[in-house]
Amino acid sequence: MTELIQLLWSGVLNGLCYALIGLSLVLIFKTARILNFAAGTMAGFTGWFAWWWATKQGIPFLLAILVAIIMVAVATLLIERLTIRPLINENFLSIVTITLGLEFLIANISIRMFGGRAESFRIPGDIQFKNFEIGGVRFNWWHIVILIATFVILAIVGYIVNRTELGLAMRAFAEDKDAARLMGIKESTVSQWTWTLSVTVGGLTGILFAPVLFLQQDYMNIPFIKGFVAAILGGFTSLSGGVLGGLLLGELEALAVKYAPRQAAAALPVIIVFFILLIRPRGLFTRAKAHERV
Amino acid sequence: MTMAYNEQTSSSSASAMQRAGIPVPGYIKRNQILGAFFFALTFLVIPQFDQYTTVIGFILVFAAVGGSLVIAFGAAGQFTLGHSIFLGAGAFLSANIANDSYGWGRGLELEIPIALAVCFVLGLIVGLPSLRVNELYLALATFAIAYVGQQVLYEWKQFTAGGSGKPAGDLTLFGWEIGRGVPYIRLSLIILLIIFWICGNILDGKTGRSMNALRTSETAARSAGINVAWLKILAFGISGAITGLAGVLYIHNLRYSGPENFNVHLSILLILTLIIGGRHRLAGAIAGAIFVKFLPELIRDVQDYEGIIYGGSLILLTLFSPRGLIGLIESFFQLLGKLVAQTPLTKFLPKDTKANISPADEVTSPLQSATLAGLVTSKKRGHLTVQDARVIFGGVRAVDGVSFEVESGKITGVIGSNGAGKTTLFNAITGHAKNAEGHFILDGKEVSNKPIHVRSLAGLGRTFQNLNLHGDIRVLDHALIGLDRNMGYGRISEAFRLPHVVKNERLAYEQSAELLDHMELLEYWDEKVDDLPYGLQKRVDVTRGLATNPSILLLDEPAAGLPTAEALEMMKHVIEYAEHIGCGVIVIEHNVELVADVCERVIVMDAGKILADGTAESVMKNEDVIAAYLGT
Repeated sequence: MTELIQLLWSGVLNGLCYALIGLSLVLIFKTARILNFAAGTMAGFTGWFAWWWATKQGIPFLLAILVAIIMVAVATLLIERLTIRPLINENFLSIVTITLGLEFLIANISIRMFGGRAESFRIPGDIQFKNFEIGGVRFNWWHIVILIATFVILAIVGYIVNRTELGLAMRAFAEDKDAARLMGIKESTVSQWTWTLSVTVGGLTGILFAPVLFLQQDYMNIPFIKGFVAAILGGFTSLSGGVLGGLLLGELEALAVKYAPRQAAAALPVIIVFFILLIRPRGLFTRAKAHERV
Repeated sequence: MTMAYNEQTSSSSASAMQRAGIPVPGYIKRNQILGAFFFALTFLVIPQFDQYTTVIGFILVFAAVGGSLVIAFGAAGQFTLGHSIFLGAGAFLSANIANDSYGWGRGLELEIPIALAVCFVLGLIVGLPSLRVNELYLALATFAIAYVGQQVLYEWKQFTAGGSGKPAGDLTLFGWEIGRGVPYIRLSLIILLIIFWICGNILDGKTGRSMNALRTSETAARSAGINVAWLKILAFGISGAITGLAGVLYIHNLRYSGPENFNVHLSILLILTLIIGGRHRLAGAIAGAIFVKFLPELIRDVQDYEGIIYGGSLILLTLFSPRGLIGLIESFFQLLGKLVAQTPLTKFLPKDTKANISPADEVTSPLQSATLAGLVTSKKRGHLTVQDARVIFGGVRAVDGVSFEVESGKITGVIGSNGAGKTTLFNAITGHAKNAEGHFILDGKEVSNKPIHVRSLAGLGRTFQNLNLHGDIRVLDHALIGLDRNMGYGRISEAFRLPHVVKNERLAYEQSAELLDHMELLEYWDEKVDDLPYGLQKRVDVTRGLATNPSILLLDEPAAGLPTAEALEMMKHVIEYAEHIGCGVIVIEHNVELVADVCERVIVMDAGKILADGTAESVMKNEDVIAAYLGT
């Protein structure tokens, strides 16, 4: 029993990572119908950047995180303005191509800037190495931090999307672009802040999980793929669906490690998701839209 | 004297195709000659680049994959991120077949056909998600497949030796040893030339045309009788097979490969290569491959900045030249052409034939031409029976028990207020309304519950209320897409452009040109429909419907938005042609004047039911109709 709980807990932890990346992808997709292939690399870059400020520049840990997040957010505003905005009314493919280009570009910049060797992200008090036990189940302090931080992020994103004017504009765009435009909502503003919000969520994920995954050149790539899968599971247009999808995938993986044959453990969850997708192409948590008019 | 006289008569009764200057489809195109020349040149100068053979080998592999992606992505529009697994499958198949100790110790003569066959089947499987999802979701699904595929390669130790990988076998062809370096590159070049020739043939034939139709409008492609589902997975199959063959070359070039080479990143790089080069042309595959694979070698130390160069150029190209490097070159030549046109050099340029189409001989209308006569059948047709058609959306009975019969060769009008269920009735007849009930019998054949394309092939043609045209495709091709059903050639003969393929293509071109001439669209044959004014687009839509040689043609508001005179003119041509091929026409129209003018019979619909049915005069006098539709 304790073993199972331990397993499920590790599933929750991975799931949170996928959920956050999934959330960051869904945020952009829902409002702007853009698939951001650079999300993982951008998240990884932020993680590296925070490490760079903390370790190489020697500024305090929390300040380093803040500086990294703010600088990446500003860079995102710039990137959005220069590369995404001009194509905002083009077809889906051109912007996807742009994000693929960004992926290559940022990955390369990240190697040039941070060296590309594996590093470890040290946290004050080394709490990522400190554990405590409840009823035989071991918990890591940093994991608890991740859990709390994730809830805070989810709450903030939920507040922005559901309670602020920006969120209202975002939802309006998600529902009907043309109608939203006619209501006088500026598409450029929505696009710009959606991107910033999405990249910030991704960046925080990159920082939160850097001590767990270890800083490697492309340490956010696998979480990106999994976050992707999580978003698919959630139907790619539902914020809560993406988060639930992430948790579900995390648990599936944890259980596969124990109950599936070793060779299949890595691929099984993705295979399961693939079949889910064949049956329910629009994800588990979304209802089908009314049919299109001919 | 006699000869001169003959010449004159033949020129005055020239076919529409000659008058419009439409090039006759041949075996080889100008671009192919240019391409072959390029290959020959590379073939000869290759020994000069001895130290670059591995890089050149990679360029050839990437170009081959690019060629295959031009089919699946460029033409059929299937955005796939799964091509790394075909490359991996081809590579390991080759390693296993060619190895002496654990394989069969055979050469390329076995590696290539097996890689082609296995990857074709694999392609059909990878293509399955495309039946359910498109664009974004397809990218996701194929992305997942590529990811799982690599895991399979890692775990299938017998096939790939797991993480340690397998060496390539000896490079032989029918026992004849091929040297590494230059001889190998020359062999790859020949293989690439053949691949490109086949890809080009497929793209020029009916398969390429239907793929382009599918990319630009799936609904319209179905209505033109294209089996969209099969075509989509076929695109994956063909593309997968070619990429598998490229995989064989890949491992021989690298001499050793493990599963780690075939990751998702490679898939992305493959599609990026084509986007950089330009996905609308085979030449784009080569331009992209050279750019992505050769440029980093050319400049020392540039490898460290590969990502910045790829990513940066991708972003710049997407922003400023969406058609890739080839698009850039094309615009350059267009600009050059414009500049030359302003100088005295202009007299050396070929004359623009489109601008001045010589008028046809007044006596012979296009309908009397021998080519169009071939479409006329003696079979009696144009007979449609609709029995108790019902379509229900939620609680709304959009079509509620409609029954009628259309006699051969009659023009029937359907009128009714907005929301009366007219278009839904059409959708029920053609199969676009999925939940339609009732019986639909066309020329004695039951077509109920058949998919859209089968109904279309059975003889139901239609147009769309909201212009479902194939955006960036030429007007001429719209007619050809409709005629493709008559093409008497298979896809394999198409790939090799056998003589009967060319013969069929020529006939279809002639017929299309005559049809365009009849519909007064001939001078626009080379225009993309997106660039045409609305009135002409409407006419193209109707022409496409006519080109399917239907038994019953359903026109959904063909005159909407047109001035009455223009609409009448168009309908006159439609009816002439319909009578010529013996097809019945049912037309939904709001323009009562037009309906009264052209329709022998008018059906009035209201709230999903037939309110009145009879001649135009009798219907207009019907009190129910006046109350419900014409108003007081």
